Amino acid sequence: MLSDKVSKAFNVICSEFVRDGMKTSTVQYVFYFPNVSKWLISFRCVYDGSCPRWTKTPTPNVGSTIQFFGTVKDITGTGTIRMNIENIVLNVGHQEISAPSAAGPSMPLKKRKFTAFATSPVYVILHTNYYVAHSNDS
Amino acid sequence: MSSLVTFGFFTVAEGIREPVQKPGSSTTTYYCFYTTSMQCSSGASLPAKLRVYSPFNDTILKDNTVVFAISCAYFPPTQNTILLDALHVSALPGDPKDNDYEAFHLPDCPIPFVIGVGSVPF
Repeated sequence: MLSDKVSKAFNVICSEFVRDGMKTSTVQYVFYFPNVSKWLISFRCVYDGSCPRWTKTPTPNVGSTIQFFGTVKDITGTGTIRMNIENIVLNVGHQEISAPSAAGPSMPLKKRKFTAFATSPVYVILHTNYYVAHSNDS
Repeated sequence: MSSLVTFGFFTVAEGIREPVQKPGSSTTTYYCFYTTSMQCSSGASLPAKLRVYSPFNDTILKDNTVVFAISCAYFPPTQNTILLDALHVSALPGDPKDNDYEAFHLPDCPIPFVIGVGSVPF
């Protein structure tokens, strides 16, 4: 949060293979809102304050990966590039699936039973280290 | 996971064709280097150099030719020239010397777009 109590800023580091080598550009973005006349902060992106669609957009989490799309607004005397953001995607990339706690699932555990005859339908929830079968018998 | 790509219309000039030997490689590749600029929505424009792969018998584009280019980008930390490596370049039709070149042949879209993927460090 910047001193104007309205705008929010964050850095983004982008690397790209340019001139036969990996080059890293540091980008700084600002969530820009109306009635803010100063740009406080090297490579900046700006949420256009004239558009209310950005007012509820959260600041990206530290360590997260984002994708942005926009145009360069201008450059400051210190070489800071500021950008107008037209779209942003937060938390890009692989998302860890939260594993169940060591105590196990919150639902009461039932002792499994052997059965010779299938009951149908049976649905199995994947991506967990246990399975829950829903059937029409109780 | 990271990238920084620009795409849009650029005016190119001062084209020069030069050989480039990649680090650790014995082969030489030819590229055309053009002076261009990245126009900003504020009306300012930033200096940039566009590198385009140049195959055998390639011709250098005329000065002030407008091209549609998709390029990998590097924005230096200070006010240095932006480096662009073209992934794709397509020159728009028409003669840049014609008075109506920009008025009738080109789309009204002089500001290029930037799309990037990066991490938030703090």
